[in-house]
Amino acid sequence: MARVLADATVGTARAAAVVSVRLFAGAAEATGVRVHRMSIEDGATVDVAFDRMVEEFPALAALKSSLKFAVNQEFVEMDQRLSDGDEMAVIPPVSGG
Amino acid sequence: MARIVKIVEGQIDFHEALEAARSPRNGGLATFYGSTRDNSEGKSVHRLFYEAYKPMAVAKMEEIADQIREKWGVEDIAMVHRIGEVPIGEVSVFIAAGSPHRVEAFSACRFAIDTLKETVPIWKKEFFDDGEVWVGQTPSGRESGD
Repeated sequence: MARVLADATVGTARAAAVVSVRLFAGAAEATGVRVHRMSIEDGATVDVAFDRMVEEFPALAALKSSLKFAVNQEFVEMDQRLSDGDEMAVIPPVSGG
Repeated sequence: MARIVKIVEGQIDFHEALEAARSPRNGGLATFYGSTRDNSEGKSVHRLFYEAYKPMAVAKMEEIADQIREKWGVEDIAMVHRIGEVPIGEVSVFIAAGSPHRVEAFSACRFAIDTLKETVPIWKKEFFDDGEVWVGQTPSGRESGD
């Protein structure tokens, strides 16, 4: 499943994982994005993936302290590692009911 | 034994949900209707909109139903959440729990709504005269509670 991307800086190849990141409610509105596909190093953590999201969508930075994260529809900690094909979700404070 | 766990657009079918939780073996049926309020923290609310991360929300609601079966042996339960636009005064969430005795039915019903509000990825947006807000999400990330 993992694809290989050339890493020009060290002249080697590194496995990459394509992850789709879903955003909801205030996080979707702040960025204007509901689904974002990104290529990251296989095994990178949710924390690293979120930092990459912040680089692309700076409005997420202000929300970070209130967010939770899920991978493949289970809540996870920031040190959860990601693999190719994973679905990561950015979960603002829930308010159903 | 019957269980209904779902997220719907449009009005909730109470009859279907109640029939899932009703059974000749059950002497008690506890229900909770959560409805959309026309006010929030002193402000007038004109309309409400709900969004869900649907597959995860259903999975989390199934987990709650599993926990209820383990805690109180309550197997006859309906949990239905409405999403999209919900007019003021209409029911946005409905819970029904049936049990041989009332104590377990009340406990299951209470646990279902309390846990749903804490853990299920569903979001509510309130629209006021002068703006709109996702409940619990402020620009500073402060929790406003509900």
